[in-house]
Amino acid sequence: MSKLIYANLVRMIRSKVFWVSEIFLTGYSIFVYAMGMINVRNGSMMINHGWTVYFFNEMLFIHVVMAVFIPFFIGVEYSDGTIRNKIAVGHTRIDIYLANVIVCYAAGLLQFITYSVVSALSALFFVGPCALTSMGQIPWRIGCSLFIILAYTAAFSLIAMLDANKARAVVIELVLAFVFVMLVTQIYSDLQEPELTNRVVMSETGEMVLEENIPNSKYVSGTKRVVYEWIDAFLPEDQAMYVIDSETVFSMKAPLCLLGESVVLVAAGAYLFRRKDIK
Amino acid sequence: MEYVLTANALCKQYKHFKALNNFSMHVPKGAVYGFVGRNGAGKTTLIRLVCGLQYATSGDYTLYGVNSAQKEITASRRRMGAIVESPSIYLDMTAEENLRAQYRVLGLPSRDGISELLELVGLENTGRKKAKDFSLGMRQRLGIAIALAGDPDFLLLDEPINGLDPQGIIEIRELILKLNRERQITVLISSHILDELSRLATHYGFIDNGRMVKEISAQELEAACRKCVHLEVSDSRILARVLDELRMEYTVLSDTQADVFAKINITELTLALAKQNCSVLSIQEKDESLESYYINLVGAN
Repeated sequence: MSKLIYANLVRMIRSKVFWVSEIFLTGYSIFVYAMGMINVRNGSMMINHGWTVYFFNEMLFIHVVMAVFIPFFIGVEYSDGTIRNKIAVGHTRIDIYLANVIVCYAAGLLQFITYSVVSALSALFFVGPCALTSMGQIPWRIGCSLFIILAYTAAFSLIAMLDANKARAVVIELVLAFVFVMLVTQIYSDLQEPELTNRVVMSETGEMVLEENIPNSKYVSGTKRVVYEWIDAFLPEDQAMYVIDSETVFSMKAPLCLLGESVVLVAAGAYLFRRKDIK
Repeated sequence: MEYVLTANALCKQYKHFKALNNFSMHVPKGAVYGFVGRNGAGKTTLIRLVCGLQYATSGDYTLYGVNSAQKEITASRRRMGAIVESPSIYLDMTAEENLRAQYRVLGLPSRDGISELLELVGLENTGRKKAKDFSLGMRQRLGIAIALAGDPDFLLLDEPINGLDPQGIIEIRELILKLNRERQITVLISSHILDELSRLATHYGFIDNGRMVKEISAQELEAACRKCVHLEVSDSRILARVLDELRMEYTVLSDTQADVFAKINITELTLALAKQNCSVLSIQEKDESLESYYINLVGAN
């Protein structure tokens, strides 16, 4: 398998789509910090607060970048027919599948590293060291990001390896990416609702009265909350929201769920690819 | 005889369509095996199965003595190179880059041999030109170079001359003959361009509707296609006696039929037979080509 990984890595480094994604992430990172400084000057943001969302901002859309890169990278093997060369010279299908997953994950990591390095440099240039020192729980955030990228790689590689049509695979992955964003937005916002809330009511005398700590009707509780929390742990896009949230309290639950999900997706993909008829 | 590839009762079914049906074949070592059949007969399906791109519904095949059910079949495929349907090349790479990519897949550490391979297939002067800008013939030759990268003993070529211009056809033919004669590479070449195959093949396999109809060597085929006069007479024993007297070569096919491999004077022969009370019922000149042999074998439909 090492031969296939090496061959794929060289191809990835030469891939135009990969370099376009790197340039995009670099440009986006600089743009994000420039916008952040404009917000600071407008007074809508404090200089030493809230930079987590800027530093890890790519986690909110890296799935879109990967949903384009992975089917293009793997799809070339089908459109140019070169996957046949690998099978015909005696590489096992499991090796071919795993080598593609590993190299796509490496591409995701390189994209993450590129954004992070450019972010750090942009932060120092536009804001100063306080933009970096104000962020808490950096190891947790980076660790979770790596598992999120792994889960995306496993899911998108499965689709790209099982659908020989490159264009169709890109469309399916992009549609899935946007569907998940909508699903995640709903679940995340429901889970963020506080159990108790305050409200202002008008008394009989016409005065405005503040009622404190009353039950929030939008608060998700009981079995529904348990189910939501499990779904939340398995959805990488949802976990990306926690990575950028400076208030998040991290636990091992989500990384383990993402790891388990990735292992299941890779195993299922490899099994189905093993039985696939290739033309 | 030592065989590189044998297939035994191989079946491949796509939903309700049987692409291969109880198919058997024997490819001798050192042969250029012409695999002949109409479109959809099952040629490409067999090549896909042997390359491991698809799995047989039932039956098996043996590659270099290793059965397809054994795990070692993947290792025995390393002795094989193949082009299935279209050449498998990265279109956005040059010829040399494509070969380097295949060398990496094969785990070959050095680049030794790449320039020789390019020279062998006549692509040594393509420089920075990308494969997407190559002609079809150049792509086919690059595909063959990639198939040869692992130094295989057995080459599977699926319709390698389809769509090529006359010059391209000649180049591919010369290359295949060179590989077979100089490197002793066994070649299985599927095609429905019979005239071209007849210039290359040492053995033939005729496939129709997923079944092997006939396997025959080029020598046997030549004998079967020899120019002759087919005679139908009332008694072939009398005909044999007369032909012996006339010192003519012949083959008796039945009590009433025989093939005569000589130029005959029909009046002289008819009179000689009439003297011995043997009448001539029909005379037919036969001059079979590979094409007519194939048509007779599988039917014009």
